[in-house]
Amino acid sequence: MNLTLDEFLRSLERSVDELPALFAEWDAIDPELYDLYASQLGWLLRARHEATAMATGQGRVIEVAVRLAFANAKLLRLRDSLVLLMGLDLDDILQWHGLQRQSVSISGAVDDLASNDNRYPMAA
Amino acid sequence: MSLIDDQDITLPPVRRLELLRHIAAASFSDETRPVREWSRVGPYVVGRSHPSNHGEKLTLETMLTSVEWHAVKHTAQGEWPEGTTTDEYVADMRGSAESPFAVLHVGRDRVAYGRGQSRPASRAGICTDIQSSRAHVHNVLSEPGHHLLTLYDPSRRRIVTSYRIEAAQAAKPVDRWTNHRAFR
Repeated sequence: MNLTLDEFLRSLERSVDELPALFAEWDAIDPELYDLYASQLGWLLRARHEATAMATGQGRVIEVAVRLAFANAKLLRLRDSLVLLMGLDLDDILQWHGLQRQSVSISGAVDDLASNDNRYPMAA
Repeated sequence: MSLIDDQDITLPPVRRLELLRHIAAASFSDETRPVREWSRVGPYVVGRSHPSNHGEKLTLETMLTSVEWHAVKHTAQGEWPEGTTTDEYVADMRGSAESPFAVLHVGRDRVAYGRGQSRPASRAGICTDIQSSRAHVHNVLSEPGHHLLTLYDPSRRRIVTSYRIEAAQAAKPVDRWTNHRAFR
């Protein structure tokens, strides 16, 4: 990608934070943007692998892992809308660091992680 | 595109080339929106060069046409080199139709509307192996196996998108079409 690691994280976090409002006003959005937003979110999710590699090279593994986990958890909470409105599936959300659909314990832990939004302030 | 409904159709090479050129000559949507709206969910591009005016830096309020947004976005995503202009992005799309390796796809997709509803819509596309098509496709970055995929909406006569895609993924967008046919 031609984004820096910080630009990528900003892109992902900003997008994830925007999703609840987007879904709330979905009927008022130009339908031409439906596929655009879905494909752009899909790219951000696929690019998490590259961001993780960049974090390793920059010595920011833990910080980036936590921030990605937070984003992941927020996405999991929105999974019904992501599937229904954006056509994404659970594997699109979970395929990061080897997370798979059957890793219920891991996704549960991620959900738990996000349930306390003040625990990791660097993700704010 | 009435050919979509004919299961047994064969396409003469001249007609295939006509259709490829028709698609490649089309424009993107006329919609102009601020970066804030294009990127509401997507890459953060503030501070990058305007693809049609390199002296200008993008802000959230910069108005971009659809093709300009696509040029910025696919450059940010690393598919085209930094500094790619709108014209260079479009030149690749147009050039891909001239490649002898271009494959014409036609079929019917489902277009979303409302909350989880969709309706059928005709689609066409051009998929080209980039490495084999360097005489026609000059700017997009690629490794062996990368394809350039352009999707077209015949009812509006508009390009939907044009982007680089890995070979393993190249069939995905068109495989979900019904009545899908590919002409080489």
